[in-house]
Amino acid sequence: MSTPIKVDIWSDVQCPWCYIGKRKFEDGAAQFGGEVEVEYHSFELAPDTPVDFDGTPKDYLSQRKGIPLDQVDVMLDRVVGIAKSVGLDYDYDHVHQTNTVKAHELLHFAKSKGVQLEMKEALLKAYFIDGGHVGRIEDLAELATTVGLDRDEVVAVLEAQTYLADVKADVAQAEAYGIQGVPFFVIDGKYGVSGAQEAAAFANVLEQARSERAEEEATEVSAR
Amino acid sequence: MTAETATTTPFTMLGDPSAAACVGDSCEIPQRSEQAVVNAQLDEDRV
Repeated sequence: MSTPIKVDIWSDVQCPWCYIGKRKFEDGAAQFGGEVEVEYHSFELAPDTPVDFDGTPKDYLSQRKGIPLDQVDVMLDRVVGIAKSVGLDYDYDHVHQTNTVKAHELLHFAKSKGVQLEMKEALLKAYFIDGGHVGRIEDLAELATTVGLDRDEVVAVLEAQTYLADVKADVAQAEAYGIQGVPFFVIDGKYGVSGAQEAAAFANVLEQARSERAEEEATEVSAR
Repeated sequence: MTAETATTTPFTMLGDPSAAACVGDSCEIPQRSEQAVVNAQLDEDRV
């Protein structure tokens, strides 16, 4: 049995292209058909956002970036349209803009429990589709129970910042790699893929990684 | 993310260098994705 192709993904919970890219990657991985092992890594797009920012991304973009509200509406409408094309019903009227560091700590805790992928999906869905709050510990603990995590344990690790160092290590690693935006995919530790690519692009990269491995294995065998 | 990143990462960059990504707190949409929006709207009979 061959070793799965490892895919490391840097991503943020409040990144619209990360959720769209996740769907496209999953589609590409299905087209590829081989075994793939995915691990998510933390990336904070706006680490200085207050947890209790009182407003939606529309308010955030207009207040923080100075973009006129009508222009923000046009931008978000475009994103919503593309999300729709991959089966995601973004609801920007009910999104709670927040700080995502606790959500990232939760993802590391979930990884330690073997449910990181489920937690990632739950966080993205909560943020973009269900109008959930992904910055407050109580809300995160409630959400974590939906993937089988223990509420009290989640509250404890988030209050103690048990996984904060892991989050910061991921962010530092991204910086060291020169990753400036997300989603960013690292395939088998050698190929980089940036952004919400089409599914076929992901399938092609995975296939390339598999072919290269096969060649390397063949070379090793012939050298013995 | 742009092709600029491809020159700074230790990875061999593959795929479309203009694919949509969030850089900082900016998540702008690449122009070429307009067609995806039109297609979605066509699917919903909004065009």
